[in-house]
Amino acid sequence: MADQGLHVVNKGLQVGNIRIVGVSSSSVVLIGDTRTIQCASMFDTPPESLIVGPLVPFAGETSR
Amino acid sequence: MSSVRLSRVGSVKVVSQSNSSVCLFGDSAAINPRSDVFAVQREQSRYLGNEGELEQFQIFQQSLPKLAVQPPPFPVRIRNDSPYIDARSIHILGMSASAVLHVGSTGSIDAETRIKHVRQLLSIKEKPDEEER
Repeated sequence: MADQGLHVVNKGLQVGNIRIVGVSSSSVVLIGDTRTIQCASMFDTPPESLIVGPLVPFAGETSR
Repeated sequence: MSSVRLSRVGSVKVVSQSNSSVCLFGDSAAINPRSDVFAVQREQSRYLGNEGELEQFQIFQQSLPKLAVQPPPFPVRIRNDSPYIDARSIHILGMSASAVLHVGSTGSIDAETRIKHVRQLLSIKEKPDEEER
């Protein structure tokens, strides 16, 4: 048997009570196996997103 | 390929889920939740109803950096001594945009969220006359 490479041994896995208040944007709670996980999240609140002045509406949705 | 383990959970309680969040029991191949959020808070609550053309904001246009998923350049052997993953209970209060709760095995998870948050406040001269106290 070759010794090279990565050898993973999963022993028994037993968890008690899982209590979560919040799972945020693009977050994962996984009870199981997976190959790949990619999570990305962008949150934009720059200073210019605080608009002080007369109420100007945003551009309307174009019908698609 | 190694055998897939069984996930066993006694009880699950999720109070609230929001945009594009996933609660999945059983095995799956791939999960790709996407959500675009444009959140506007106004001091004076006047909304036109059809506002929110997302294309005008860069955040909804630009691409996210992604890792190219490729198999590891060395051999990987996985042995599951126990065929089970056990949890007694899961209790989640809230799940936000593109969040995933998965009980079971999957191939890949790829989640994306874009949130643009804008607050609009009235300047002092725009404020309606306040009642005299």
